[in-house]
Amino acid sequence: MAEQTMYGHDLLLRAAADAAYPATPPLRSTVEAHVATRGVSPTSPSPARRAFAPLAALGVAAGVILAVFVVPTSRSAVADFFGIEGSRIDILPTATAPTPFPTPQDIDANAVPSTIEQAAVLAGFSPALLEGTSPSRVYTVSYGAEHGVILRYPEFDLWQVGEGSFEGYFDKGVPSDVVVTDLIVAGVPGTWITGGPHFVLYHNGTDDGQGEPRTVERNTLIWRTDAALYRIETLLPIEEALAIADTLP
Amino acid sequence: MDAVELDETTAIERAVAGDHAAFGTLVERYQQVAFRAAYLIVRDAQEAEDVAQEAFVRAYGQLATFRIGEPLRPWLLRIVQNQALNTIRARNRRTGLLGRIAIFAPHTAPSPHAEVAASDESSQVLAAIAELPDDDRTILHLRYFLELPEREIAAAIGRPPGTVKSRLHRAGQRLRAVIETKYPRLREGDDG
Repeated sequence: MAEQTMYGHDLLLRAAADAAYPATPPLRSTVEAHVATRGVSPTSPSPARRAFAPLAALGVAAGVILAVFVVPTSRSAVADFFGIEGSRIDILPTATAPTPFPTPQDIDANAVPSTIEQAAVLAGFSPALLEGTSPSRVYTVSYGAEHGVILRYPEFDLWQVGEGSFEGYFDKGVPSDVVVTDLIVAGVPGTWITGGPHFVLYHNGTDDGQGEPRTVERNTLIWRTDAALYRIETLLPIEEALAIADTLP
Repeated sequence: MDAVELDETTAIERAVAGDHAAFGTLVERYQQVAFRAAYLIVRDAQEAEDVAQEAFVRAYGQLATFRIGEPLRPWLLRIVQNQALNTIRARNRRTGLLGRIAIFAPHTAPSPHAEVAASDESSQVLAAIAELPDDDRTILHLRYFLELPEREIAAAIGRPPGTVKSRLHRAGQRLRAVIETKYPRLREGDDG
C-alpha cells in the first residue's frame, strides 16, 4: 500500500513543515530534581510498587503519609499515579475554581433513608459495619444503575459504593489551595482531601456526568478494596479517620 | 554499534544503576522531541512542559523495564503520548465539572476550534487531527510531525512494523471524514 496514496499525505507533509512550536524548555534540572525529591528509582518494575516499598518498611497500618506533592500540576499527576479505581481527582486552577461553590445540601436531598437490610437489597451488597457501634441513620443513594449506601455516625458519614467493580467513577474537582495527600488506608492506596470544600460528580460507564455536582465541605478519606469504594466525610483529623478505616472488616 | 548508540546504551545502563546525571544526558537528548510530542496533543506550552517533565520522571522509574538495544526514542514517546492524553482527559473532566455548575472556566490553551479561527492550513490540519481517535492522532503525529521512521513508529504504538502503513491509511480515511465534514476548505489544498 503506497503511503503516497493515503488520503492527506501531501496535506500532512505541508502542515508538518509549517508547524510552529514554542521553544523547548530545558528539562534536565527539573526532571533530576523531581526524581530526587520523589525518590524515584529505576530499580524496580513499576512506580506504584516502588512507592509502596518504603511504606511496608514503615508499617502501612499506621497510615503513614507517603508523600505530599506541593506543585499543583504534580499533585494532579499524583492522583493518577496512585490511581484509586473509581475515583479521579482533578486539581482546579484557582482562577477557575467556582466561587462560591454550590450550596451544600443535606444528605436527605440526595439520599433515601433506609435500613441496613433494605440497603443491602437495593445496593446488592452488604455494607461493611463498624464493630461495636451502630450507625444512627442509613441511607441509599443511586447513581444511574449504581447504588451506594451511606452510614451516618455521630462524627462522620461512611459511604460505600459497588461490590468489587462498577463501570463509572467519581470525579472530584478540588481547588488548588485544598490539600490532597496520597496515603495508605487499611493497607491499600487512598487519598485524603482537606483544607476546603471540593465537589463530586459521578460519571457513568460512558463518561456521562450523572445529576448535579455535590459540594463536600468536610475532610474526605477515600480508598478502595476488593469489596467496595469507601469514602469517609468528617471533621475529624486524618489520624482518627484512618483509625476508623482500619476498624472496618 | 556506532558511537552514538554506545553512548546512549551506556547512559541508560548508568541511569538504571542510579546515576541521575546519566539520565540527565538522555533528557537533554530527547527533550525537544518529547516536548513537541506533548505540545502536538495538549497545544499549550506550559502544559506540554509539565507533560514532558512528568513523562521523563516516569520513564526514569520504568527504565529497568526498558530493553537495552531497542531504540529509546519510541519507548519514551509512548510514555509522553500517554501522559499527554491523560492530561487532555483531565482537562476535559475539569471543563465538564465546571460547566455543570455554570462557571466559566477560562483556559489559556487554545482549543482545536479556536485554532480553526486562525485559518492557516497547518493549524486547521492539527485541529482536524485533534478530533481523531487517540490511536489515529498518535500515528499521524509520529509519522508526519515528529518524522519517526516506520520501525520506531511501530515501537511507539506497540504494534508490528507491518501494520504501520495500514494504520496510517486508516487514520487517513478518518481524517478525510473529519475534513470533509468540518474543514471543507482543506480539501482544495489536498493533492494527496
